[in-house]
Amino acid sequence: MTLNTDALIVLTGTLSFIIFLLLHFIAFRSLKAEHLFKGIILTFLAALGLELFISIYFLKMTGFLSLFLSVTIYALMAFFYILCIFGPYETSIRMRLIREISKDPQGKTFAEIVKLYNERVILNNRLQRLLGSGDVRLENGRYFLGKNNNAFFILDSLAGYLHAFIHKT
Amino acid sequence: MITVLLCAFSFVCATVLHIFACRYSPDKNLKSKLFLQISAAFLFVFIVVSLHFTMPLMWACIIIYILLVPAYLVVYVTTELVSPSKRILMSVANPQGVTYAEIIEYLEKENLITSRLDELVISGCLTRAGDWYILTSSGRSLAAFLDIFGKLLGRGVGG
Repeated sequence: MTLNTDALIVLTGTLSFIIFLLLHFIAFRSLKAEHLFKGIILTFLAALGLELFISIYFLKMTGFLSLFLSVTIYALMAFFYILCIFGPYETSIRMRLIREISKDPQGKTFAEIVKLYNERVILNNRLQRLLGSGDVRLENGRYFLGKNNNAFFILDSLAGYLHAFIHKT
Repeated sequence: MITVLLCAFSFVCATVLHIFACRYSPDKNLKSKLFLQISAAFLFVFIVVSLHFTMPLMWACIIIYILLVPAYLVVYVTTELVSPSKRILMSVANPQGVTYAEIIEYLEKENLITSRLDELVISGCLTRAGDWYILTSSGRSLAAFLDIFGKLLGRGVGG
């Protein structure tokens, strides 16, 4: 392995992430809120496929370790972007509050804030996503759990185990 | 391969040390800053060893190590949070189902807006003057970033 291989790994990983971002910015302009999760998975896989294609056919990067490191760099960059930038932008209450308050240079009163953004808006936004993903279903005006093993509960159980492990509870 | 193993070992050591500190610390607050310090120390050791032995793939490993730090922190912080979507799912988990009004009632008890506004004041993004909430300079920078990002993404305001 030479320094060139090292640079190539970093470059292909970064390039894949740039491709992911481009696909993401193009595809997500018209994507409905209920298809966000599927959209992220598809964009991630599309950029991953392109990365592997470019690495193997054009750059002749055939070593497993090089490909593995390149894919790891791409996956971690995408993970960081989705969970730390896109996720909060799309779903965070705090980020929405900052944006609402920023519309007035002198700030906003609590009453003005809750007139624009309140529990109803929060619930409507989330119900749109949860109904679309099938995690919640609506029958005769009542909301039911769509799937018992949805991603939230699986992640919550994992978080619970991790919390107990980290904090010795 | 040895560089990758050394990088993985350094990161695992930083994580184990952090978990150890969390488990045996008398206060149960989040210790994200501590993890940043521990991981920076292990990264420094990794770089010194890699340079000393002129190990291959050093840059790729350094970048992976740096990217693993926020990945771990996201998972670590998530163990402490309950998202509003999860609260909604918890409320609809009732076998008889729930109405829209019942979910709203449940969410209103959680004080989703006031608790977030208080956290934004504590974190220095907002200042509070009586009933008024005003953005600080860091809050304005964040708002400007969100605005640019929103234009790039071409999506609604989110939340």
